[in-house]
Amino acid sequence: MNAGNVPLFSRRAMLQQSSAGFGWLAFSALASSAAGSAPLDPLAPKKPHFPARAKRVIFLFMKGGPSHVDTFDPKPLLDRDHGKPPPFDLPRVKFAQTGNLLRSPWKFRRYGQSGLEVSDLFPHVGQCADDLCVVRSMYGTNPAHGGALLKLHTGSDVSVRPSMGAWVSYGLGTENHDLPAFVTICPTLAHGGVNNWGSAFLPAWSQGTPLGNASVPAAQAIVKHIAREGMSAELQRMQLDLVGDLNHAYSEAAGRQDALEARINSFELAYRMQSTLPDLQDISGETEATRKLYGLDDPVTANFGRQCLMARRFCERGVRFVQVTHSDAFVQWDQHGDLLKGHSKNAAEVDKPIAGLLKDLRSRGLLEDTLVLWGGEFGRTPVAQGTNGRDHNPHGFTMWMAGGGVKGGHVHGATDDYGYYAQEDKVHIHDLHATLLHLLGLDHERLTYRYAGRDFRLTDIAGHVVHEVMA
Amino acid sequence: MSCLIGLLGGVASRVDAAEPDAAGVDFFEKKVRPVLIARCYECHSVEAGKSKGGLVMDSRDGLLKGGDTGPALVAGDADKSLIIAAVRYKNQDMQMPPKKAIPADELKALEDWVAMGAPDPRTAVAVSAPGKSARVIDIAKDSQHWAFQPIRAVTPPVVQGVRNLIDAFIVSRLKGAGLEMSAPADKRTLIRRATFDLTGLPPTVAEVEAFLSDRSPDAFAKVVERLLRSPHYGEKWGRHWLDVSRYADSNGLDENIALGTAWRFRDYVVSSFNADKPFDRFLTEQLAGDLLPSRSVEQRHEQSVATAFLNLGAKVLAEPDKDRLVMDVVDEQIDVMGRAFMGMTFGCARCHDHKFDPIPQDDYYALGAIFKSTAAFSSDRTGAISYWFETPTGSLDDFAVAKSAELALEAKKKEVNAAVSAADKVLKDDARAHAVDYLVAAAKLPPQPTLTEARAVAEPLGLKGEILVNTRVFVAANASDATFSPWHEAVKAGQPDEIAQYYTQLFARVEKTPEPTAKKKAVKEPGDESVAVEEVDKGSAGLSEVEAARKALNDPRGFLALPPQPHLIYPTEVAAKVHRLKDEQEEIEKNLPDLPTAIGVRDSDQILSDLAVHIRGNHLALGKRVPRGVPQVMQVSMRGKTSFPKTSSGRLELAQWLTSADHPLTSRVLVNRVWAWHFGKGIVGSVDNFGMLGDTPSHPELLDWLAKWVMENGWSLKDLHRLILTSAAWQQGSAPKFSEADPENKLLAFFPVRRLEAEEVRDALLHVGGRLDLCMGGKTVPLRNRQFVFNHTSMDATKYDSRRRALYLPVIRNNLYDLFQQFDYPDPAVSTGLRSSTVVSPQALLLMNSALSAEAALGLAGRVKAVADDVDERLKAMWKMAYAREISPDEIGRCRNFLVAADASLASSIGDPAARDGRAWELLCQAVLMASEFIYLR
Repeated sequence: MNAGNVPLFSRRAMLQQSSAGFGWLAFSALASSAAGSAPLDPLAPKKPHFPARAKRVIFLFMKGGPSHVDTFDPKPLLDRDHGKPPPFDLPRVKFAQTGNLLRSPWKFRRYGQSGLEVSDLFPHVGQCADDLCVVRSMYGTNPAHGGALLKLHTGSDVSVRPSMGAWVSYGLGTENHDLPAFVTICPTLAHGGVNNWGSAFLPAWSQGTPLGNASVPAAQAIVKHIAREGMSAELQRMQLDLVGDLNHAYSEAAGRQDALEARINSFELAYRMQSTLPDLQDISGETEATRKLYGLDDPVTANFGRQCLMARRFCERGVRFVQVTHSDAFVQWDQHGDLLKGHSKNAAEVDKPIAGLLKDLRSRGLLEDTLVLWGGEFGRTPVAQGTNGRDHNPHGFTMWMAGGGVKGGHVHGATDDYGYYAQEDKVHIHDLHATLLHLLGLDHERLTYRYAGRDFRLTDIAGHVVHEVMA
Repeated sequence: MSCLIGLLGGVASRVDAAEPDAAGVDFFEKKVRPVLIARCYECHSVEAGKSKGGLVMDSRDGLLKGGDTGPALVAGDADKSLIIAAVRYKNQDMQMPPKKAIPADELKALEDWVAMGAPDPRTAVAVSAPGKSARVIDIAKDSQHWAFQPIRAVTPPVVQGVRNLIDAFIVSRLKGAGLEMSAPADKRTLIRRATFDLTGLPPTVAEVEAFLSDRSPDAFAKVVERLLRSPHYGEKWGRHWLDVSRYADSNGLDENIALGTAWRFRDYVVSSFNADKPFDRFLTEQLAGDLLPSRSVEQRHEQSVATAFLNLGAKVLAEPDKDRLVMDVVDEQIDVMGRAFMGMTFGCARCHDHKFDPIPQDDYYALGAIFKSTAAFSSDRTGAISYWFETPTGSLDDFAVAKSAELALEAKKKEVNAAVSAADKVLKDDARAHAVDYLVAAAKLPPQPTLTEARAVAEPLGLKGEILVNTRVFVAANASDATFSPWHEAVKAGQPDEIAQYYTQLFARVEKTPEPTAKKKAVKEPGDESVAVEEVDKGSAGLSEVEAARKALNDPRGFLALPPQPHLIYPTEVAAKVHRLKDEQEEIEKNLPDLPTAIGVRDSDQILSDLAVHIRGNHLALGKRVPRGVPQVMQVSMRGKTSFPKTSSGRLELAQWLTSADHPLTSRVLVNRVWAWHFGKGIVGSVDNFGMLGDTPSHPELLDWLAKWVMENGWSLKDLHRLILTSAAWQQGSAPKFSEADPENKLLAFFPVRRLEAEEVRDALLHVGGRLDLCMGGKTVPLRNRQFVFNHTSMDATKYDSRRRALYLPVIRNNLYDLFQQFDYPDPAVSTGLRSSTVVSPQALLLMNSALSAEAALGLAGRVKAVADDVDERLKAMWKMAYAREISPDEIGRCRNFLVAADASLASSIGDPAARDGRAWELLCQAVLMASEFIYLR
C-alpha cells in the first residue's frame, strides 16, 4: 500500500479521458486516495480568468420561439400599419410564406422605476422590470428549430459542439461534489436533443445531467436508475458489501490499478447518491408562501413553477449551470397560427413562476451572483403567417437577463420599426455567449479546448462581449 | 494598381493616388478619415492588429487590395464598391459595421468620397497582414513529417528465442529500456481475453473446458481459428468499423428522423469482416461501390449499400439554404474519409489553410470537387426536410410489396382520422349547443382564468372547463368585435343576466337564417406544422349582426374552440377507442416494410472538373477555382499521378489512390487501428490523427513492418489477427509492472487490463443470464425509414428490451441508450477510432437498479439452480459461468454468509421459504455480475 505502488500516470490519463454523468463522484474519491499529490478532481472549483460578476446561471429556455413584438419589444408602427404589406425586404432565406404586417393582440405597459415596457402576457414578470436587462437586438442565423436550438445552446448549427453549460462546467468546475455542475430540468429531446446539453469533445464530466425530459411532469423528473423498487436499503447494503469484498480481492489478484480502485469507490458513491438527489428534489420543506410564489398551488403554473423552484434549490447547493426548459409535447411557443391562444396559454404557464423565481432569488440574496437568462431559439416575424400566426424569425428577437452583474430596468439594442431585423447595437448569439462567459469571469477567447488539431471555443471565431449590459 | 487603372479608364488619373488633389484630401481628412477610424479600424487596421476577412482599411492600398472577397473599393464608382454596399446595410449577408448601420450623413460622406475618386493620402502603412504573420505551408518541408514519408522496408531485429516477428520488435525495445515482457497468461485468462477480443462474448463453460483439456502445442491457435470462423467475429469487429463510420439509425442533429435503411450497411460491414474481404476492396466499395463493375445484381446492390459510408453523417435536414446544406455534407464526407483512412483532419481546411498540417485550402476544395460531383440527396424529393439519396436494393416486385403494404396504413389512418373527427364533432356540437351557457359562465371569471377557476364554474353547469378558459380569454381579446361587445357592455353595466337573453335570441336568429356559401382552402407550410385556415378573413366588420354571430359560432378557433389536446376531454370510452386505433396505426406503421432501398450516394448529374474555393468556408463568397485532385503532401512520396475522368465524380480514382501500395498513410492507419483494438492503445496513440499534432509512434519500425506485411498478405485482416494473437506480446500476463523507464506501458511490459465495452457489458449480462438471442442481421430499428424518432414530442418510443446482441439495438443520435452512454459508447455523429474507458457512479447505479441487471441476475440464478441442489455445487457453477474459473473456499464462505444474511433480511417481507431462497440467489447472482471480475478482462 505504499505510495510508490500507486501508478499516478494512469490516473492522470484516465482523468483526461473523462467520464460520463456524475464524473465528479468517482474523481473526488480518486483525488482523496492520491495521498500527497495535488487534487486531481477536474470539477474542483477553478479560478476564473478575472473576477466574476456571476457565479452561476439559470437559463429559462422557452422552446419554439416566443414572439418579441408581443412580449418585450413594443412596436407602435406595427399597430398603425396592421394589414399592410411590409415596407422592407424579407431575408434571402425564409422559413415559410408570410403575408402582411400583423399587430400585437396585447397591450404594453410600463413597469417599475425604470418604466420598462412589458406586454400583458407577462404581468408578473413586469413587476420585476427593474431587475431585467432586456436585449432587444438579438440575432442568430438559423431559421429552423433544430439549427437554431443548436446554435443557441452550442454556438454551432452545423456540427456537434459542446453546449454552453458544458463549457461553463469545464471552465469553472462545481462547488458541490455531490451534485453535477450542470443540470437540465425537463429538456426537450427533439431538435438537437442531447447535443443541447452534451459535452461533445470536452471531457464527459462537463456534460449536463438531465432530470426527466419535456414529456415528463416536473414532479416525476428524476435521474435515471436512482432507485430500485422493492429493494430495501439493508439488502442493497449487504449486496454492496459482498461486491466490495469481491472487488478488493480482484484488485489484489489483478494488480492494483486506478480503474479498479475507482470502481470500488464508485459503488459507495452511487449508494450515497441514492439519497442525496431525492432529498434535493423533495420540496416538502418549502413554506406555503414559497409554494404560492412559484404558482405551485395552481395547475396552470404548477409544473413550470416546480421546475423553477428546483432551479433555485440546485443553485443554493452550488450547481453552476441550471437549464429550465418550457416545452410540452408540441413545440410550445411555435405559433405559426393562433398566436393569441397559444401565447396566452404559454405565458400563463410561465409568467408567475418566473417572477416567483426572481423574487425568491432576490430575497435570498442569490440574485446578486446568479445570472438568469430568458429566451427562445429565435423570435417571430412581425408579418402574419396565415391569418393569425407568426413565422420563425432569427433576424431580430429579444432575450433578457437578470441579476449576476447586469443592469436592471435596462433596454439594450433595438430592432427596426416593425421588429423584423435587429438594427441598433446588434447582439449575435456568439456575442451573448461571450457576454455570459464574461459575467462568469471567463474570457471567451481564452476558454479553449484542443481537439482534432484545433483550439475550439464556445464562440468559434466570433463573439464580442457586450459591456453595455453590465452594471 | 495598374490593372485597376486600366479598368477604370477615364478616372484613372484621378485615382492615381501619388498626388491626390488638395480639396480631395481635405474632404478625406474632414469627412472620411474620422468615420473610418470610428467605425472600421477596430477590426480592420494594422494598428488594432486585426484584419477580419483579410481586409485592412487604414491604408489606401489596403482598401484597393481588399480582403477575401476582392477589392473593397472601386474608386469613382460607389455602386461597385463593396465597402459602400456593406455600410448601406441593404444586403442581409454583408452589413458593416456588424452592430448597427452608420448614420446617414456618414454614409453620404463615404459615397461622395468614393464617387469623387476616393482621394486618399494614406500611404505610410504596409498592407501585409498585421499582427500574426500568416503561416505559409511548405509542402516539401512538411512532407518530411514521419507519416508522410514512404513506408520503409524494415528487417525485424534478431532476438533469440522469438518465434513471432512482432515479438522481435517488442522485446528489443523493452530490452533497450532494461525491461522484459511478462510471463504468459494462464489458459483461463487467455481464452476469456481471446473470446471477448474476437467475438465480444464471454467463453462458455464448455469452451473453457475444451481448451483446458487440449494439451497440444497449437491448442490456442485452434481457439483463435475457431473464433475467427465464428460469425460473431464479424459482429465484434464490424462494430469497430461502425465506430469509425459514425454509424447510426437516426439522423440526430436538428430533425431526428430514422435512417431506416442504414442497417443494410451495418450488415454489409459485418459480413465483409466475416468474409475477410480484403481491406483495399472494402475501402473502395465504401467510397465508390456504385462505380465498380459487378457480375450480378446482388453484387451491384451490395456495392451500392457500401456507399452508405459517405452518407451516414448527421445532417441539418431542415436547413432552408440548400446550397449550404450540400456543402455541409461535402465537408462531412471529406472529414470522415480523411479521418477513417488517413488519420487526417481535413475539415480544418474548409475555411483556411490547415493551421498545423500541410493541407492548403486548395487541397480541400480539390477533394470538394469530387464530393460535390457526388449526390447525397435525392433530386426528385424536395421539401423543408431534405431527402437523402436511397439506392435501390431490390427488384420491382419487392417495391410492389412495400407499396401495397402502405395501402393498409392509409386505410388505418383514415379510420383514425374519422374517429378523431367524430369525437371532436361531438364535443363541438355539444359546445355549440351550450354556446349561450359558455358566454354566461365566462362572465363569472376573470379575463385570464386558470383552469382550476374555470372548472369550478363550468362543471356544475355541465360545461367543460378547458373550453370555458378559452371562451373567457377569447371574449376578453375580442372586446371590440361586434358579436362580443354586447357581452362586455352587459358585464360593465353589472347586468350579466342580459347575456343569456341577448345571445339566446341572437343565436336563434342564426339558426333561422340560411347560410351563405364560404370558401375554404388548406394551407401547407414548410415544416411539420400544417394548419387549415380560412382563405379570407375579413374580420367581422362589414358582416351583418347575424353573419358575424354565425362566423363566431363556426370559427374553429373562436370562443367555442376545443383545447389543443381535445382527446383529454373526450368521454372515457371515446378516448379509449381513439387511443386503441392510434396504437394500431403506430403498430402497422412500425412494422411496415420499407422500400427495398439503402442510404447511399451516386454520381451527380453534373460532374464538376473544378470547384471554387469558398472564402472563409462561405458558400456565398467564392474564390478561384481548383481542379479535382488529391492532397499534395501525401503525393510527394508516391509515384503515380491521379487523373480524373470527365464522366464520373472521381471517387473511384480517389479510392485507387488511397489503396495504392505507396500511399504513406492508408495501411499505416489501418494496422494501427487493428493494433489499438487488440491492445487498447495504438502504436500511434492518436489513432485518428497522424498529422503534425498527432502522437509519434512508440514502435515506428513495427508500424512500417506491419503496414507492408498487411499489404503483402492481400490486405487480410484475419491474417493480421492471427499474427497478433499468436504473439507473446498479446499472450503475456497483465499484472501491472509500471516503471520509470516506461510509465505508461507504451513498451508493453504487460498486457493492459481492460474494461468491457458497452456492448460487451450488455451482451455478457444477458449471455451469462442465458437470455441472449444470437440471431444475426436484418432490420432492427423499430421505425420506418424517415419516421420521426421524436417528432416534436420528447416521448421516447425507442425500446431497448430486445434480447438480440447490442449491435442490433437502435443507435439513436441525440438520445443514446443509457447503458451505451454510461459505458463510453462513442458519439454516433462523430467518427471514433478508439473509445475511452471510464469509471463513474452512474455505471454502478445502472448495475444496481436497472431492469437489465435484474433480468440477468434472475436468469443466472435459474441456470445455477438447475445445476444442482447443493449450495457449493451451485456456487462452483456460478463462478465458471461468470468468471470462467474455479471458486475459492474463501469465496464460497462469503457467498454462503450472504445467502444466510439475505434470508434473514427477507424474512419479514417474504413468507414462503422457497420464494425467499429464490430471491436471495437472485441478489447473490446480481452481486457477482456487478463485481469487477465480470466487467474487466485480464
